[in-house]
Amino acid sequence: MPPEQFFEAMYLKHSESMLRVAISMVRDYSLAEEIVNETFLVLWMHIHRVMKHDNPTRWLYIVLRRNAIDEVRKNKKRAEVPLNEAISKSTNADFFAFPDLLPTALSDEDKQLLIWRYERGMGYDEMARCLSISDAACRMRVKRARERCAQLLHSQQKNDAI
Amino acid sequence: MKKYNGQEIADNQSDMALSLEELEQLSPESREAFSVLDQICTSKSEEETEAILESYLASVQGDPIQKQISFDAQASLEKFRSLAANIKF
Repeated sequence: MPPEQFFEAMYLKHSESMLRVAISMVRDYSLAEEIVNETFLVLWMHIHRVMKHDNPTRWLYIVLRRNAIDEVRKNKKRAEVPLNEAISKSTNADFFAFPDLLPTALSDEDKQLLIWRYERGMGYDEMARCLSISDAACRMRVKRARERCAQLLHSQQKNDAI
Repeated sequence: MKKYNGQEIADNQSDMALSLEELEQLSPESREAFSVLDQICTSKSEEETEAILESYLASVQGDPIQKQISFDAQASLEKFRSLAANIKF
């Protein structure tokens, strides 16, 4: 069987179950979707090896578990600076514009994504169209921008406390 | 994109278990899901893997978060292909 066909068969057979297991683990639909996407990217990178594996389903779920554990650990770190809370405070602020409250060290590209998403309330589909990328790629970019923003806010908070 | 050592991915899981402290911070549903994943990861055959999975998925059908899922595998595969096309390996 050609690798593309094997991959497609694995995706069609397992993606929904993997999403259901991932959502049980992380309790967040978008995050679960990202974990499943990352798992299939890893599958594609190692497709020839997995094709020879005696239990490809188990292989997939091992990678899924690993990705979920990574996310749980990242979330634990992010929880120290709850970004939603920071964003909600910033959008309710009377005297500061939302962009001014984003960390200065955040790249212009990341700021733009967060402004579109959280200040203007743009949907992923609309943002994806503006950027000429897929909806899924857009979600991933926003997720990464959020993570970088959270890390910078966390460092900023630590520096402020010193 | 994470870097994976090919051999490490599926064969060496000892460094990737959640600690007791980490598990305690999870919801009971998350803990159960991780526990099922642990069973899947040590299953001995494809049949055993699928049986564990099937039984678990049947048991969580009533979970409200599961009811949010409306999934079209074919459409999702197309979305995944677009996503993969935007990622440089």
